[in-house]
Amino acid sequence: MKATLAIAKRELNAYFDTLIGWLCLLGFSLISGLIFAWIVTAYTDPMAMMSGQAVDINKMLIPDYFGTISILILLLSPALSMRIFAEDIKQKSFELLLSSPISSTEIVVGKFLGACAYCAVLLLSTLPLIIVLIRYGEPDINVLAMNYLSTFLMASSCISLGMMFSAFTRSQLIALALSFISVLSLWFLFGLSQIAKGDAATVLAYISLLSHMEDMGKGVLHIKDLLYFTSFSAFFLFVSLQRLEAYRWQ
Amino acid sequence: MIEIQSLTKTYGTFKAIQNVSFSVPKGDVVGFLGPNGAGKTTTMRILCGCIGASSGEARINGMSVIEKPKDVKRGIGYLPETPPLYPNMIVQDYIEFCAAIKGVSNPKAATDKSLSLVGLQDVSHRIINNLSKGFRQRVGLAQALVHEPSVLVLDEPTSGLDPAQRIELRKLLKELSQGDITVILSTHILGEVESICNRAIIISRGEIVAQDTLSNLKSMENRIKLHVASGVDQLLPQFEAHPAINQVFDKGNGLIELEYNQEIRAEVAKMAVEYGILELSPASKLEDVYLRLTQGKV
Repeated sequence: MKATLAIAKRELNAYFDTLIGWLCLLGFSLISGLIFAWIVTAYTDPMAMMSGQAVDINKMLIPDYFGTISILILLLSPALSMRIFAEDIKQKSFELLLSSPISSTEIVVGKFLGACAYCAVLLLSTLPLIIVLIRYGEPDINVLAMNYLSTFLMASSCISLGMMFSAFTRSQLIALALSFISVLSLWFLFGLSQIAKGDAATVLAYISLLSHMEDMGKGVLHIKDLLYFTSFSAFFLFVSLQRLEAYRWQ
Repeated sequence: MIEIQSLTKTYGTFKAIQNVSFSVPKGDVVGFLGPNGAGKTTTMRILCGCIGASSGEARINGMSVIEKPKDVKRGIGYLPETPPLYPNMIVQDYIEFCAAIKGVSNPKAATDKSLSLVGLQDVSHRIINNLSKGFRQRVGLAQALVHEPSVLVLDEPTSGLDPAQRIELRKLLKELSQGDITVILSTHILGEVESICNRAIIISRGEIVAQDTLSNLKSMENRIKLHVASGVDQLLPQFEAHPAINQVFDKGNGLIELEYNQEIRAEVAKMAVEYGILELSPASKLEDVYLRLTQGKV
């Protein structure tokens, strides 16, 4: 456990040791701030308000905001996960992990937790905006918490997927490209599930990450959604683990 | 101590090492010699649990690397040819991280001790990427020593260093070898082995071709050096006429080298004793033995 936490801590610090970690944080904070401003402006537009529809922060503004930043994180995640294993393998620091008294599971979990912690930092950067919302509106704290949870779960799922690609190559660029194609596919699946009909729509909605965020976005936590996100991450972590074991026995 | 039995590692059809067996007693400093691609790194990586062997067994302090990997790794310090560094980290943080993943109970204290051992206190707050190659090698050595291992495995620790850095590192390794620590180091530089090690293992094309003390290895070449106080003129014709002696070399100042085809050292001593024997020793260099064993020539 101590070793896992040490790896997680190093992994989190590694993002801030390079420019990419700070740039991602800066870019995310800026864009999420702009999205917030845009959504708030759209919902408080006098023309829209004149149509007589009252703006429900909890049912419209918050889910819309988190839905949009989820897509932002989804698109950002390949850049965050590409280095997790590929960098270690390329710069030979992987030998340190392999020759240390730690199991492959501890390495995989440690690295995953570190990357998830960075995603948590990204999400925490939106707190000032949410504080503004709390100050001037009456958001349901439960809805806010569920939206944070769903976005975090979606981010960690994307990280686990990208981590797997990173474990298969020493080229960060290849890992980035493969993860980007994969997360884009997941996004398109969500789009398809919206326009498809019948059983196809049900299947597509079940596969897509984003559709599992919809109910949580409204403040409702279903075990099936929680199970989906955890099994999604667990599957890709398991594949990464197998890759690591294969690396030892290749 | 290190025990390796019938170790084989294959990559597809290519056999990187085959049937490698050797043992290194506790406290010994052993040089692991061989040309590029002979299987030194593969053997060392198996020994440290980085990769698994196709067959055979490696044991450290009586424990199998495969059966008890964590216990074994707690007792091993490994410095690969390319030090396993995180270039963007600060030296102190990096060593503390290494101590933490190696299960050291007080990483901070262990880090300070390890850094002072390799003489890195002055650069402990610098970023690894900004250090010279010699210092980076020392950081790599500090990570290998931070958990106070009983076995130290060093893969070409002086490669790429300038002569001054090489001498410094050699001095450091010599100091380390004074203790109870068992060291196995691979290198291309035979002088390094002669100055640090008391034994050598020579590997060629994936197979062990010799393993012994340095003096025994040198005597494998059937060449002796005789230094007499006087009587060179009398001795030379006697040696030339002797059927067991192939060649006689007069090196001047009473020094004669003899290449023989059967054991004649006792006889040579008897012949030279009346002229005053100053020295009678193997004349071969480790280099000669190495070249003959790895390339089949002297």
